[in-house]
Amino acid sequence: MLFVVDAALTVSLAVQIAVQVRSGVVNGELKPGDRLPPARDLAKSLRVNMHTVLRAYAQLRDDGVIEMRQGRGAFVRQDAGAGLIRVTELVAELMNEARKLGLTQPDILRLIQRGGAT
Amino acid sequence: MRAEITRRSLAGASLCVPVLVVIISWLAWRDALPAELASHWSGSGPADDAMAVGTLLALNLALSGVPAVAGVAVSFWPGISARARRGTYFFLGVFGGMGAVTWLLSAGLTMQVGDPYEVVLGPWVIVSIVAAGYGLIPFAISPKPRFEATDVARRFEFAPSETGAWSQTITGNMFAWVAIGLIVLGSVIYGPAVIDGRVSDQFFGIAVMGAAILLVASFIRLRVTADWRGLRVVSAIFRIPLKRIRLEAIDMIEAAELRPTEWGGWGYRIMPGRSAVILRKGPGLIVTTTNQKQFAITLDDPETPAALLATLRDGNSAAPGDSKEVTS
Repeated sequence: MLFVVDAALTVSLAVQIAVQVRSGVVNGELKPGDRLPPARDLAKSLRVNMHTVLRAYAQLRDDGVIEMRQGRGAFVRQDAGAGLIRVTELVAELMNEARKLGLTQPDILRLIQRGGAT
Repeated sequence: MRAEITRRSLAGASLCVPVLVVIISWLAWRDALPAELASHWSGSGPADDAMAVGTLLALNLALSGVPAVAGVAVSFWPGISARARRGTYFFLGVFGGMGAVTWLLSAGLTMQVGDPYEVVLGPWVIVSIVAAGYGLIPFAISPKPRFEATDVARRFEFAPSETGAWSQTITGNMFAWVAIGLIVLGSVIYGPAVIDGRVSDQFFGIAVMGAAILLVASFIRLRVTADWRGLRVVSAIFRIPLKRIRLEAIDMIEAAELRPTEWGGWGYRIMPGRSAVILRKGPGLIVTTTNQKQFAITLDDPETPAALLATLRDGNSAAPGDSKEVTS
């Protein structure tokens, strides 16, 4: 898949990479089980620090999009689909909006629980 | 164009040399030649058949003369591809060279011995085998084939601070099956020796089989990358670089429909001036380098790496050295 990063953007390079992997999964370019390029290789290709790519991969792993297999690299999770990605994006959006309003994480969790109960 | 015609003329002329050798040697030796010349040998002993000088001369004149006439015709016949012309020169040269050497050996050796049935070919048989290599001379002289190449039109519009990279892992199931086949074959052939502890007896065979399995296995999963460094194909299993084309060395990039028949078959193909990794019939990337060599690889989406490489080659992106490695 194609990765494009812009050093001039305010969004971090790690986020830019993670967004592109998510988009790849959503539009079907990346399928469950597909292997992502090794962090070292992708970092060299994009001329960014390897830790930037690792941070993007870690973020994707935490979001349940990919899984990291020791010594084998990063793979798109079997259950990663467009729906999961959309929910992940909505959660990120929710967190951003909530922080702007000064809500803490427990507050947000309470709101979600209340939303789930109704 | 003039240089090409000159080379074609020279290649055609080189095919006339064998028939000239036959004619000149006959003119020089005709008074000293016996009535019959040794014409056939079985094994390493003396000749077991002979022919009249006139018959043998006619035969070898035909064998070396027909390639000469055909070679000249091929040199100037329009509409023949450089590849076909080269191949034809080679085969004509093989026949021409063998015709001339057969005549020289039959006439020369019979002249020395006198009785054609007493002529022993001996080590001269090597010369007749080497003569077949004469085909390489017109082959080497003839112009090298130029491969048709077009350049991809699509480009990415990168901002000066942007850069792109493309990466894909491709799987060659065919290589996996071949590797499995080799493992089974190796187990059948060398398994008993390994079980009996006679590995040292079969060491060479086992080593060759092992190397072949590793070679084939290295093509099962390939990682193809296009970035500011150029195009790279790496074995994803063993992490061995299999092909590397620097961005500066890329002349043209094309996304095209690849047919195995046009690239020498399936697998990793190496031909004069061309190489390819062909896993199936279908879309692929063709890269023509500045020294007019071509590399092709089958890919699911060749348009993206083609456009990216063209964009990077044309300098429409943050080129290496323009900015330092960034961390964010």
